[in-house]
Amino acid sequence: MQETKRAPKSRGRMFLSLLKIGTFTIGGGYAMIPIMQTEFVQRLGWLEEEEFIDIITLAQAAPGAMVINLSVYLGHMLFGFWGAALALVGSALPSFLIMGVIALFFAQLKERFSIVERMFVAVKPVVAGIIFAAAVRMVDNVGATWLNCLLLLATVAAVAALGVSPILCIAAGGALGILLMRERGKGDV
Amino acid sequence: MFEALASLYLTFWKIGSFAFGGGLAVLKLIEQDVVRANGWMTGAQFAELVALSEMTPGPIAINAATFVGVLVAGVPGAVAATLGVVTTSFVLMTLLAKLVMRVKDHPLAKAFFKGLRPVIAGLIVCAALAVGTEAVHSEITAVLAAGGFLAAYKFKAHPILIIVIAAVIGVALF
Repeated sequence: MQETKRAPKSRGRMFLSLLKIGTFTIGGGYAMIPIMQTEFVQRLGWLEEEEFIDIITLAQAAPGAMVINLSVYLGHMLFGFWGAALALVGSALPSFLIMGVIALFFAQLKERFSIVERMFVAVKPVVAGIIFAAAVRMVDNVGATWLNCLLLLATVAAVAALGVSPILCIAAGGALGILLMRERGKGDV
Repeated sequence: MFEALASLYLTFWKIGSFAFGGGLAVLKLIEQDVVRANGWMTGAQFAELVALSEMTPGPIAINAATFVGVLVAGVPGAVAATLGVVTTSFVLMTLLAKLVMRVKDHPLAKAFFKGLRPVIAGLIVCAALAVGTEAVHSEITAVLAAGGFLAAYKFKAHPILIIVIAAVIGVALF
């Protein structure tokens, strides 16, 4: 089990963590999941693994950028309306600033990009590994029961092999949950 | 000027409201609304934007809004487009947060989320596979992917630290 120490909740810490997440989310929206998991579940201890996964569900089902959706929800959950506004700014600011500078000075910066390209040859496979680690950690915490493993594999097969839309999988998972996992009394959170 | 800002805001508000399913959906809408309908960008600039979005951190929606905003109306344009693209996210997620707080302890809601957790883990595995199949194309990149997994899972290193180390390796090796 992970250590369960919790850092005291503070808007400043949240803002700082979201800035970090916004700065290092490279290689698509899902790349922020391991960073957010590390920051808010492991390091700060403000979220349970299950809560974190549930927020991902909601963020994934809504339109727009997943990082932004997640951050707004998290901010609201922790600190109400103004927390949500602060979280929005924190998660959007890094890419706004970086892209803004690039767009303004595009001509001058263009030849510098080869170094970034080289970095990415190594960063991208590593990000794949890190994202996979986040998924395995979730399974560890949710419990590797037969039903859970089956649902996970079915989702991977449906999306990766058959091209089924993630939203359809979410709807199906929720429906199956309601059918099969209703109230087993004690021990469940 | 005001007109340009208003139409930037509205166009990106629409993109932020209808982009379901991540970055690719955003790019498709941008191609439609920004390149074709408004003519704010040429096809070549759009291709540059796609390449840039992949190389810069953060969500494609924000990257694209900032880039197009600067192109059309400078820094105020970037602000207008970015505000537009996040408006729906903000409204919807604050409402959802309020709603879910109220219903999350209901047995049906609990069962709903319980059934979804393995599905979400599965979707994250898919994302890892998608990034992996694109990025792993040699022995070295395969070793790097495995190294990233071990560092994060087994040694619990912070993902940011792992990414920074990988960037250094990339510059040194390739």
